[in-house]
Amino acid sequence: MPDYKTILYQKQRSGVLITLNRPKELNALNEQLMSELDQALAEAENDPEIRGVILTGANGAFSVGEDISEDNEPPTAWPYGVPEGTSLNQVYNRFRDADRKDILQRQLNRWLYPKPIVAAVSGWCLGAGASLALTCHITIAADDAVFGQPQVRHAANTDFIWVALAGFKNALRYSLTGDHVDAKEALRIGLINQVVPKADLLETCFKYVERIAHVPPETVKINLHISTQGLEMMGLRKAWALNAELAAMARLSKREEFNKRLEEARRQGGLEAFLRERDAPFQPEPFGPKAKKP
Amino acid sequence: MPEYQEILYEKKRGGALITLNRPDAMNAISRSMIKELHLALDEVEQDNEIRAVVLTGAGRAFSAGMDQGNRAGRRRDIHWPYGIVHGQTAAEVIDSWRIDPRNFRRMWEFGKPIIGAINGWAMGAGSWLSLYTHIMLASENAVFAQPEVRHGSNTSFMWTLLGGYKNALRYGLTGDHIDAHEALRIGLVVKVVPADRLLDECFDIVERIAKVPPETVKINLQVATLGLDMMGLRDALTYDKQMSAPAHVMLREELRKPLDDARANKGIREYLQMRDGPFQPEPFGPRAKKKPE
Repeated sequence: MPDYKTILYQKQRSGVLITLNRPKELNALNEQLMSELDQALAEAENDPEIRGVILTGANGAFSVGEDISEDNEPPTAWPYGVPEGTSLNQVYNRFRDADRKDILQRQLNRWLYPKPIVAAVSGWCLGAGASLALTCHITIAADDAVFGQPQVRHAANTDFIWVALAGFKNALRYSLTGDHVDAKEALRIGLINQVVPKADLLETCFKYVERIAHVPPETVKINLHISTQGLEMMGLRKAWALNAELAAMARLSKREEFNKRLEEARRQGGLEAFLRERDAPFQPEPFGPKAKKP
Repeated sequence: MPEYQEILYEKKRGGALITLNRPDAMNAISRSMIKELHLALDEVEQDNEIRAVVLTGAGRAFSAGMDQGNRAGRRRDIHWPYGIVHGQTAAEVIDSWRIDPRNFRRMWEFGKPIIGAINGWAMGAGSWLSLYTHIMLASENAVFAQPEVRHGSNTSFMWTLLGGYKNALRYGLTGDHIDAHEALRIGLVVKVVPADRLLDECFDIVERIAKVPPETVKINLQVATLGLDMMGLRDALTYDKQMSAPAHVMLREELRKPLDDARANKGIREYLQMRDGPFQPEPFGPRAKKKPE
């Protein structure tokens, strides 16, 4: 059994509870965590005792998204918007490879996973964290859950899964602004299955896994695939293939006036101050704890 | 009737002959030429006497490709190591490559048959333009290729659609020249004819098409073109268009800078010699035997 550093892997009640476990960073996703998640899913896939996976986050948050504090890049050369001494070719190529891996390989791998993955979302569920929770087969939210893509406010992309689940109008309403969506609104627009009191979140999820465990595994797998592969056939794979290309373009499309402050904050500390500054013009948010002006 | 500067428009034998007419520039495709081509197609659409279009080029080329000459900020003043023109952002460069001002797809979905009469060089976007025609005949001296991939540019999915996967990759990855007979073998053209017979043979087809009811022709055209659209061509071309951004902006200094320098200091001929010299002799066409000069 692999020795996980950034996730917890706990078999119980016919399933496994996988916890994103970088509590200090509110489970921000980095390469180590994503690759441990790959391994954990492979382990669960090969374990016949496990009939369903529950994915949750430590410390009251699901995940705040991609870890943007990790910065090994040289400072950006303006106005070009690429790291000093680096060609656009190199950065673009790196982003394309990374986004094809994250979106096309990892996301499709989870989407086509042969056992149901249930996301148990409490607290912040933002950016890549939201993509992760929403591409799970079933998503249950605690009443304090907040979904959003605030990263689009600097230079980053949305995920087509929002359109696939919530529809064109709702997806654009939230992905063009990065605005927060609370659990109730998420339920209304079809992002999630159910809203439960925070104290009941994991219990609710395990009850689903236990009910699923009463159905023959092969039947569960086939019925999963009727949905997931069906949507893949209907064009989801194509949409994600394009999404991966556009993601690289979006992340590279840096403008000094939008991105210089972020980089300074990453370099010199003060990421929180940057985020406050970035998000202030958007407050109050339409939903969630920031819905009332501070 | 519009005043054309860069094309010729002539009604004859039940059809219209549209000639790309910048012979001094090997009919390189400029933005204004594309505009005129679309105006001419507007005219064809409205003229009931015209049953089909023949598209050809003046002089020794069908078209040498996109006009590289007058586009601001494309090749000049690239600041290394960034690979971006002075003063521009990556955001702007990428964005500018994501649009498709050519709209060749309109020709594909056009309601009257367009017959390509390929009379010589059909390079790069000139080859793409030729591939979007519905029926294509080539003269003995026709050459198709995408040499622009050698300096950093994308191929078109139309090559895969028409030439098949293996052939498209064979030529799309190298930019190698193919001649009229190879084009016939892989399915790009339907017939190879002597140069002096090319237009006559095309208009023979126009006249035969003109004997079929127009609505029947349109429907049968669209059974093929819209059918391939439905089978996924439209998706592939959408993806293709987006891929032209990475293809054009991902430049390597060691490969690109010497070419740009040669072009700036010595001119286009030296630039092309440097780029294409290592690939000669070509497998087909007039450069198939010659050693680099």
